[in-house]
Amino acid sequence: MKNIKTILFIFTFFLVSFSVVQAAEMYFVAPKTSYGIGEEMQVAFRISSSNEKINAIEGIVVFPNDLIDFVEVYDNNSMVTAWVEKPSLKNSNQINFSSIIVGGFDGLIDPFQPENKKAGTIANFVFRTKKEGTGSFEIENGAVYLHDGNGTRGKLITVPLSFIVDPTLSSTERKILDDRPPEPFEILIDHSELIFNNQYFAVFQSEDVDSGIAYYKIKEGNNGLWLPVESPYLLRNQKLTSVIKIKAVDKVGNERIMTVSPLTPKDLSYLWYILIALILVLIIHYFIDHRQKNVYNINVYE
Amino acid sequence: MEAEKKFNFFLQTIGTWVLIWFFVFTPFSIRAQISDLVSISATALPPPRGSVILIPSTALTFSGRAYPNSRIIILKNGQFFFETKANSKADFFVSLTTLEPNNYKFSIYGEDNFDRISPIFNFDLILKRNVTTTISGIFLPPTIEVDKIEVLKGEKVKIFGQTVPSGLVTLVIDSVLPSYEIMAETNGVYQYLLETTELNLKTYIPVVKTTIETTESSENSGASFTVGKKTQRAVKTCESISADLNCDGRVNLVDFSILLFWHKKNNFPVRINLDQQNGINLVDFSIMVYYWTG
Repeated sequence: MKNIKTILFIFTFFLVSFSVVQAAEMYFVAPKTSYGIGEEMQVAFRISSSNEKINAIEGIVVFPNDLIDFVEVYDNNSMVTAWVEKPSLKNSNQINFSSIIVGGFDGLIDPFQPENKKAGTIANFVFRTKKEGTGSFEIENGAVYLHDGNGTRGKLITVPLSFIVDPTLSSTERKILDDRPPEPFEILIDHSELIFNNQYFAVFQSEDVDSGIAYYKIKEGNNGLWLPVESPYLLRNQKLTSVIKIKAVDKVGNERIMTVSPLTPKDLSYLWYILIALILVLIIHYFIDHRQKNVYNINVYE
Repeated sequence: MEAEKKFNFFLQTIGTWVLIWFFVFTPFSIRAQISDLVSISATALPPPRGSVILIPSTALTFSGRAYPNSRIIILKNGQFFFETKANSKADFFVSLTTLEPNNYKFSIYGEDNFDRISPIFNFDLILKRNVTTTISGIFLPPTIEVDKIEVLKGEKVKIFGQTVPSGLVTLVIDSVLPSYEIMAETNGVYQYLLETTELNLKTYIPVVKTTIETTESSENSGASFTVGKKTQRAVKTCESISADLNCDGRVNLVDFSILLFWHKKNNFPVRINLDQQNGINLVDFSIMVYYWTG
């Protein structure tokens, strides 16, 4: 009986261990666990998936909003290719996110230690402590999808992170150093019957290594206004006769402006109408002039 | 005694300088395999010396084999970044020197002389300042196409594509059937006319790989055909790649944007729903990403 129990225990242990090893892991990393009041708290939100390639992730980060306030999210060194839902504050204590990872992800390769693939950063969160207490960051409704072309849901383990806000501790501040503009990017103009009733739209995405992209603005035509924009954007000038400029701005305020020249030349057909009108005026003028001459001649003749 | 002391001090000083020179001023290099074929090496450059100001270099090189005179496309974080051409022997070499130190996803693939694309190789790399990272030994598998999507049992189906010049292509139709070997021509083109008399009435997904001397490429299995009761020629249509929503032959940011527009919305076009279930959600994005070409 004892032997059976031992075998069962070993079997269960290996089964659990194997399933743990196969799963992706979503977790938090912070430089310290105790903070003073009013202190900035930096939390890296990471994922590892050493056994299976994953290409889409989603979830909700939940934090105790009675102890800390959400300040900012940075995605400048994220392994995420594009956000389906950019991390944003919901219900004052939740940060919802979903994203894709082109080519799948099974770990970062450090060229000096290629055999040990490293976890990737999904995003870096910044909070500010406001009240004494103990709390934790947790992940709800976390999901990963495998890079298999079928959208198969993968196994996921989520690990919370606890922290303490202690009024006796002194607070430290950090400053972002970013003097470089976002990277050059491509503006793609297209139309499809699947979106915007087959009208022309623009898509774009830039990157910023140091602080991440804060927002984009667009200007259609040289005399237009800079307007906030998100990709995809339905173009106002559907004739594509005006220049299109898109400005990517990073979290520090550095800018990169990319331009698309008019894809079709300006409609100059009105010039033909002016020319025809001028010719008509000349012809009418000629006839009137000619008639007057005839009248004069008649008079002379009489 | 004094002379011996001086001599020892002299030796120690020399030894210390030699060590400093070796560890500080000599490039440090390391090399390892990241798959059976592909290896990665990193060389840390020595720091700048004296008053000469050197621009910090972060370099990345890719090299390998594709198809003769084929396009080699490199994506950085899913977007087009660089393009080069393989030579007539199908060898390619790419050197990227304009990158900032950071974490990047690089994707590399080839497009053969007939616009067929290879499977995509992906690398998530940490690029460091003053380090040259080299990815070598990439061997893109043969491209593959079939001339019929359905073939009447007893008729022949042509399986063809391109690989390295004179490469030995191994074709597997089914794991329970024997494989076939085809020698590619000097331009890398290969083809095989497959008899279907002995095949069962079902769908087959041919798998190909190339061998050059003792080196084998990875496998490719991009096309399928069904042995049935009629013959239907393979015609490339917009729906050939379901994730190519705007039908431009690419799966990229435009297709992503179209899908994003319909995310969690109702009344979406049927074609948008890639898994044909439960509306537009992350599952559809996951399917699209699998076919991403940039």
